[in-house]
Amino acid sequence: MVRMKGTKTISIAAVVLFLFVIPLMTSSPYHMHVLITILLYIMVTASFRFCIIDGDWPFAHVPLMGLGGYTSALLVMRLGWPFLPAFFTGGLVAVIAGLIIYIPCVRTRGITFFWITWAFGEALRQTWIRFREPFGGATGLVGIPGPVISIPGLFRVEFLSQVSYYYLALVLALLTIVVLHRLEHSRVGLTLKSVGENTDLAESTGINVTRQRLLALTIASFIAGLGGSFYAHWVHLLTPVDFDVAFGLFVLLYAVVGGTATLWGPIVGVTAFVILAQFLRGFAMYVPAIYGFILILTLAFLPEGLESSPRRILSLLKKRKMK
Amino acid sequence: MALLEIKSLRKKFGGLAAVHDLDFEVNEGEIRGIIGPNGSGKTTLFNLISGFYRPTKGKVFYRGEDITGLRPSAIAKRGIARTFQLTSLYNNFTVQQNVVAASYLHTGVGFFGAALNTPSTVNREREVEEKALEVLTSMGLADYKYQRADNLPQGLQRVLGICIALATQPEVLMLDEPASGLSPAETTEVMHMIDSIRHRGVTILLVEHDMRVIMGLCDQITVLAFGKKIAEGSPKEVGENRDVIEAYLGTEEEYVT
Repeated sequence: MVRMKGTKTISIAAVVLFLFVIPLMTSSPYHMHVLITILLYIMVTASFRFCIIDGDWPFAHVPLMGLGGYTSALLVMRLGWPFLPAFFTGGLVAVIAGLIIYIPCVRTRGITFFWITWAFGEALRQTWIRFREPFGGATGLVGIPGPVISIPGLFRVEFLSQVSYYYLALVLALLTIVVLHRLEHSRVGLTLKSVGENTDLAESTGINVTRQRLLALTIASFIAGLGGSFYAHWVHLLTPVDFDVAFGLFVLLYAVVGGTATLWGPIVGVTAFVILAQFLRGFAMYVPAIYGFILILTLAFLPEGLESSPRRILSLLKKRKMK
Repeated sequence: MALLEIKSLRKKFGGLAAVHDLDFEVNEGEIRGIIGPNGSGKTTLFNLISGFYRPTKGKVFYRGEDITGLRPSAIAKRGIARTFQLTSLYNNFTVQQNVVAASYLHTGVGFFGAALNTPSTVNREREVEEKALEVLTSMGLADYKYQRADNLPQGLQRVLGICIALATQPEVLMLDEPASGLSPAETTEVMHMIDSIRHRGVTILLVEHDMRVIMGLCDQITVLAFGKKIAEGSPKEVGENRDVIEAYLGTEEEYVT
């Protein structure tokens, strides 16, 4: 056991180290762009999956991500806030809006919760289209400045190149994964799992199911808000279309095809799909059909997602040996 | 003062009163049996006391406090635990996790403590695990602690269901048909367990169809029929009560026609 834990630590350290030195091997803006996309989507999808632990599929997740982006962008552009406070306020505003949306919604469960949060999320997104002031309407916000982290007189870091954005995204994604992993393997995670596994039993043992679900949704909204904020300052442009139903469904797809049982699912799912998307760039009109086909294949042959495939292959090999 | 007081409690489903103006009291330390034919409102009564249903009318008092309409988790916090008729477990958890998940009620581990894994959190986690193991040992399930719950045989699943309720350290334990579907040998074992739980000072409300269990364990029995209380008393008194016999077997006239 101890040795296994040791090898695990070493291999994780190796992967993290590798992720940090990637820019030394390739600094092509295109490669960096793809990697940043993967890291950002991992943040969004992993936080989405955190709610699936207790049985909620919150479909206002992506619009809340957008709200984080709009908040942070407007604070910097209109009020001249520095990047870091604006960035975290983006997360906080997503949490507050998330609570306003989710508090009435948690009276429902399952598919009803999914639909209702979808409706609320879409209503939120519509406000950006309807209110040209301050959200910029359908054309959105243009010319959002890149992040500048500075303590006056001490240091000043300005993010200009894709490589610098890569490091910021990497730190954010790693923090997200560490925090979510910690929570999942603590009392918080076990409590959430028990709610997902048997709601009535959990409630009967003194677990306030509503509060636990809101806790998970709050954590997810915060991370989504931060992700949206990063997105805004990275692409310097925000439009309501960026957070439409299609993107919401893609996040859902990454989670389901990757697997929802562990944190590996979103990581594997996002990586696989973002890389696949690079090969499909000339066939944009077929993308939804291809993704749908992949989803059906996954549900039919790998219902627990890509994340479960090593286990599946191992057990198949074992069976073959037994024969 | 009675530990648990139920006052003119009523629950209507549409036009049907599942529980109809029920009054009764449970004293500390007793085993109270609740019997009655199918559909007489026993399980509805449990759901009303534990907060899963809101009564149409009436009140439930626990230690003098009005607990009517509180959410089930709040009622569990006050010390009333329950089991479910169809054994309810966390099927994908190990036996130990099943009990641990129910043990956090009285051990606050803060959210940030959990996120940062502080030393005090680690200590408290260990404490919770030890307590869970204690519960499992006292109920004879310690050997199965790493097994998945749904791999246990039916009888042990039932015991695990009771362990989960015990993990909340209840003062009142409501058992909904703990012996249904068990073999006579298993039933005897469950009876011993219930008796040992009572000796820890836990007050027990017991819904059961197996008369051997009811007669063998209960101090007092409340008999329900169509949501109303038709008799109450010691096992002996209830066994000789004409109304009870009628409710179960029908009246002589009915029998003749």
